[in-house]
Amino acid sequence: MQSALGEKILRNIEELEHFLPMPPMHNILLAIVVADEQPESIASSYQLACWANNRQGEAITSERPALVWRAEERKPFVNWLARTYKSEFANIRAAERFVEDLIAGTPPSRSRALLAMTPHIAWVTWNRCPHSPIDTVASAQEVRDYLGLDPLGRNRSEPILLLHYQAPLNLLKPTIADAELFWQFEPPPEDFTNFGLIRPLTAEIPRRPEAIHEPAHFRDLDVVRMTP
Amino acid sequence: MKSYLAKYIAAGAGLPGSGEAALLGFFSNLDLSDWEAFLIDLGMRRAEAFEIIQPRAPETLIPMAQDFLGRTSPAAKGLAGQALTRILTQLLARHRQPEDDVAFLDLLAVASSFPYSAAVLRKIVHTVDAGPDLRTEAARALSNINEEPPAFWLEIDYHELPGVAPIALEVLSSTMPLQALGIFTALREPPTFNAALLEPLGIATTQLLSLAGGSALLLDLLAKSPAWARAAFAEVLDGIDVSRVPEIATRGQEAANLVRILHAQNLSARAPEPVKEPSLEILGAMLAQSDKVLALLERWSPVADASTVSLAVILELFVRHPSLSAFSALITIARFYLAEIRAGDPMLGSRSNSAGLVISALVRQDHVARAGRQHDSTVWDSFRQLLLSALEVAPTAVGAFEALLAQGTGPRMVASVMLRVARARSMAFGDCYELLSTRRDSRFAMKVLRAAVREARTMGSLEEFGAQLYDYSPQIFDELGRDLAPREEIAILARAERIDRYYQEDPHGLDLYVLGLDGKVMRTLPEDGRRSTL
Repeated sequence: MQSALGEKILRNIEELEHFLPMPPMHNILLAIVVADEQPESIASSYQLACWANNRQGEAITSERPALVWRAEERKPFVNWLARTYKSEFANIRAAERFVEDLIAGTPPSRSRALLAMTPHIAWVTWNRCPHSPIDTVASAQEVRDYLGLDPLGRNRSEPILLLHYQAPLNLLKPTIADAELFWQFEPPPEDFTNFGLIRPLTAEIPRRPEAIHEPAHFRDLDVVRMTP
Repeated sequence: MKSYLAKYIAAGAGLPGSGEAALLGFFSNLDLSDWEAFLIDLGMRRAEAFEIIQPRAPETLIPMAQDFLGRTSPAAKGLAGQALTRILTQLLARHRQPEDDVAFLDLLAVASSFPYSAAVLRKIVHTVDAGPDLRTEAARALSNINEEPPAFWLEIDYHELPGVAPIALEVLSSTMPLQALGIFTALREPPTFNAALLEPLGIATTQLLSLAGGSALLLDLLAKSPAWARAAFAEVLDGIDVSRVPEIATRGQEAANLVRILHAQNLSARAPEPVKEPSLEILGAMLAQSDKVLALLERWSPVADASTVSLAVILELFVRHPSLSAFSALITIARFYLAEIRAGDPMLGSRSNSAGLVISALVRQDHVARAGRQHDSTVWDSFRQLLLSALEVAPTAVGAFEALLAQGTGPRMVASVMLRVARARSMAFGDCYELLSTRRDSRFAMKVLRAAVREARTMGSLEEFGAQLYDYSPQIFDELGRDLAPREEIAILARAERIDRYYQEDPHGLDLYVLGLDGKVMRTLPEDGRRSTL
């Protein structure tokens, strides 16, 4: 882990993480120690250990929001839908049509309402203060800036989807294990214990609340917005 | 270090803020052998591919790769297409292991990004030895490239490749609706009626009806169609709001007549039952199919993608029709999904979703509900065991717990599930209790809590449960206090208040105190004569 990402992850583990209980933290440290010395091997071993120890943070301790926001890069999201739910979408075009219908406000059909919206873990935020609503942000890049998405800047010209839905019951505090190898993640300061805090792409933007949950379903959707 | 990885590092395409140009520049800089190495690593899901694509979740590796590769320059796409053609040709020619097929399927999805790989995809579709799954996926990739002439889709033998029919319908529905519908009605066996098929069927039907003389063409087609196809058309037409399709609306009377005729034809082909219900023929066909799939599952044979799709349809059938006796079938399906999840299936999200659906379907089964009410231990024990294993591995707790409450299940079962849900941290205890108290009355909720106390005591987790309850609501805990022995109550309070000294008797023998670490009194138990039991 000699790369910049490796250094950042080590700092997260050694100094900042305080939501992850000891046993999973121990498992992750062990995975790093026993991996070969090759950087790729350490990264792979670390990622597997994270995968096996995610969703271990406690439930958020502040008042649970009624609705949450999540952002998805549009094209990969459509590709994922088409690839995962072949009995619902014959090909990518069919999944694209489904997403267009959601944006237009058409409720999903009964079978599609039962589909999970994410593969494994969903990262969400919510509006805590009236002056920081994410849904009024004008451009896709601003959404990414606020939510700390796409830190490599690969999708700057691409539209983004904002999904607004009923908050699941089990909103958990995110940990390093949930973030795996994601560049932008950083645990909140040690004295902050209510929920996670997003690390935005620029320092001027205030940190928004952050939590994770298990996959929610399309039936929970309130609205989908596409931000160009 | 692999050559392409060295180029990636040199291009700085993995650095924060490096941007799209750095990534696309890196792809443009790859030669044929680099592309081959990278695509093989991508198909095999090796760490190097993750390093370059940087997906937020393992399941999005291929979807993100499809997106990035679709944005590369024509020259890079040309080289990548050549490399992919080579890899797929080699895979096709050799004896493949199961893991090769997984990589093969991934690479076929990636091929959607490269029009240059169309030739090899066409070859795979026509290679009988490739097997129906790979051939179907190759057809799907071709449909995503969307450059095949209609003749390609019309010449496929759908008896051999029924899984390609929905794809062909999707491709042809807008431009050649009559031909698309012809593919559907010519199928020799009823296909799987899922959204992937019914949606393009609806589009093609709407398109045809919007053409001059379209309804006559449709009637003509229907006259030659089997009963299951007519039933499907009736269902599809039910879902079309003719007033919202201008081309049809101008021929409103014609369309209305057609719908009437279709219903008449369709109703004559099945038993009298509500129009929205699937015909008995369809149900029969689906159940026959379910027997085949379930037989495979019983033997733990590898279940191919096509069978998994069938499984999803069967599941949907049971969810919609709780009166169909499907208890043992659902148990088999649930075990299959749970085993897949435990084995680390890469489709964890959808598998968990499916496992959740099975559990919900099971809870809603009339048979299970009856067993729950009548304390039929044989059925109930199998269900309970399954539910508990599901809660351990799948994020199905909320749905299952809600369904359980809605079903009128007794307090013991609800308590048992609630304890495990809270223990497995699938849901916080407070959330369980809130659901419980909103769905059922407070008397029932208290019965559940009492049952939970008894079970937690047996399981040796009374302190943990009690502390969660106390954290959630000290008032409710106080109400439940009568069911607890004083020592139990003190142990729970000590745990909830995070103190290590439990209690100390007043030197005068008049009262009991719980002391905190700092020696201060934290709580005084009521004087009720229970001291003597300590």
